[in-house]
Amino acid sequence: MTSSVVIVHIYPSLLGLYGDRGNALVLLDRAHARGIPAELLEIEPGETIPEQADIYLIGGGEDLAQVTATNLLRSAERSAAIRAEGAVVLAVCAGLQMLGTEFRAAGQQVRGLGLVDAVTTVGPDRAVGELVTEPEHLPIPTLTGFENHAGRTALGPGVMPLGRVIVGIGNGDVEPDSSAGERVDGFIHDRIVATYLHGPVLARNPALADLLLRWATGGELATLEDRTAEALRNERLAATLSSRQVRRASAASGRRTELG
Amino acid sequence: MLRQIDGRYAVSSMVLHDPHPASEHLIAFSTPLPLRSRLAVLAGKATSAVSRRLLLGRGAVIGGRVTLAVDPLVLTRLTAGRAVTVVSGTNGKTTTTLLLAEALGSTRTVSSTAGANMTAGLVTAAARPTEELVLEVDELFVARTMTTTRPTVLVLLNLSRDQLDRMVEVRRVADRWRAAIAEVTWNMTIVANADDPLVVWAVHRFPDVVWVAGGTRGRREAIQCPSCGQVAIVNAAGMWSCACGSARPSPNWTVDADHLHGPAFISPFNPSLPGEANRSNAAMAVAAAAARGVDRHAAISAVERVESVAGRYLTVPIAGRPVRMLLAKNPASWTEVLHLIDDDLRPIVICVNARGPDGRDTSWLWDVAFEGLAGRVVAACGERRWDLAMRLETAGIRCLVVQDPVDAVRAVAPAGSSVELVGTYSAFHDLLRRLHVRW
Repeated sequence: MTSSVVIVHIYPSLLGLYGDRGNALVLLDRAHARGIPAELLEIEPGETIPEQADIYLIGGGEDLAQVTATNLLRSAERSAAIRAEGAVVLAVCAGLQMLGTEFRAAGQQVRGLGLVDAVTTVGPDRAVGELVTEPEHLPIPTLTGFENHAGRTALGPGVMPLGRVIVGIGNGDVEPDSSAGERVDGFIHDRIVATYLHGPVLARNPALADLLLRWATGGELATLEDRTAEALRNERLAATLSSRQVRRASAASGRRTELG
Repeated sequence: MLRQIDGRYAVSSMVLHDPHPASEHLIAFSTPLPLRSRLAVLAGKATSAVSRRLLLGRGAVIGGRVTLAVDPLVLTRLTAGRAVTVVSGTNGKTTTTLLLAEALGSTRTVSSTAGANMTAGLVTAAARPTEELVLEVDELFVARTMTTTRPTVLVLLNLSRDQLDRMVEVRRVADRWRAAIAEVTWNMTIVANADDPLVVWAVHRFPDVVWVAGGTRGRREAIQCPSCGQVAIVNAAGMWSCACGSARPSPNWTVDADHLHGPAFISPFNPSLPGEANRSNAAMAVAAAAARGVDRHAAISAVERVESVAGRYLTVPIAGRPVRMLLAKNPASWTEVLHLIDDDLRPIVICVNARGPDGRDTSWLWDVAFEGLAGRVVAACGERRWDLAMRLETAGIRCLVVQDPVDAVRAVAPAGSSVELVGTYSAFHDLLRRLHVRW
């Protein structure tokens, strides 16, 4: 275990659109609550991304910002830290798309960083609303958040999704005839976790924050009393799942042919 | 105009400068209205009146919808031949609109919107037979409103992230403004904030621009150049420039701590509305009034007199506590609020909803420096109180979580003690309505 958990927020002024700083604040708070020293480094373009930090955060951004950030990080030297084997990375929304091989933004096809075999195209409409997913490969409960993106992300063979979509779009139906109810969100690759969930995702899902902290520290973590976070999760899940029929209906209208 | 609230607080109310009561005939319009438009306006007014009688609200939107249903082209017809000023931006549009209406009102009859800033609300404002119109327009409605009303003056305040579930990207909003401005074929003056790179981008090479140093509203240090996407440089004075050549235009109007500097004049400047952002709003309003030919000293005194805007900054009694009502709906407006309450340690009630007008996504709460509330008694309330409580807790701010804002006011302070209340758009207006506060 390192003496202090170092959290690096990559380019917050470009990739900090959806309260992404909140993910860093939650990690700091949960480390501090356990007496684990932790610090946050906010690295802007022009600054060097420190190698061997414990957790790297890549957030959401507008199209042009996403392209600018990708162009900067495509240099192997600048992105060496997140390319290193075993690096713990949380990538959200634009961050998710950038880690893949290709995405589309600001009217252009952009080559991603290629850390994961994932290609993002632009969907027929924007996915905006609550997103609830069930993680399938990680030992954490239902994930809740808000999504706001136009991307549809196809995962390459062997790339594990982060979760199965219960409500919302997530990675979306990349093929119009993909099987119903099989939508997934995000991906996991080694210790890279990527998702379309913001909210911020770690504020709404402290178990995911703790998983990243466990990976970073290599040890077990003391249990925290999470009354506020639990109340928030319960309120959001209740509100979202009660409107589930509405969301399902609107989703179904988009794939009526396959249901017919 | 003075109005009593609960019989105790006399406030300066932002009323429309409409000398004609709602039932007044429509003779004042310079172009005769077709029968259909007249019927449409009458139907809308009747609906608004019913809505007000039922205490459902101010009736501006529902009345406008009825008018539009009867005559879809009514906005074009109602504004034909009248001087229209359109005001838009993420923050300050209600305030600037009403300040400008006050400034213009010293010499002519003016009708303006107040918060009802999409087509239906604009129709209701335009249906009043005044000489001039000042229309607050939602950022996404600027292009179509320009086409239908052909404004004489366009006031562009600022663009920052707000209601991203609806606006999608701030940059795209700027693109839409830019496209609409490029299409302008009539005589128009733009009064624009030189400090905001996105506004400058939208104005582009428009020939008739009055630049106002309208403030940066707590913008973070690094900004992205809208022109090339690189990170632009901002110096200590808030001026920005980029390697690609884009830079802050030299302003024609600037405002400092005591004075307003305009073209070849300096005047003491003391708006009653509190805060830095409102000084900028007031400067924009005076510059726009000057563009409409109003004497600048008359304009300055008119805007200086305004003490509250659409219920904001009013102090109202709630459960026997004087409560200052503040509205904050995004990180930029919270920066203003935190500045404003900086000099007191009053208990604060924060009320957060996430309905359509608030933006359905509460992530923005994480971009607000709530750490600045340390040392106060804080209550989180509203429909999204748990999102807020989680944010506050992470900022090290302990808070009470109380569903109802009135209960929260009771909980944070003893009777007679002052309280600050900050609400998102719907939370703020719901509470005003419930308290029967008219403005």
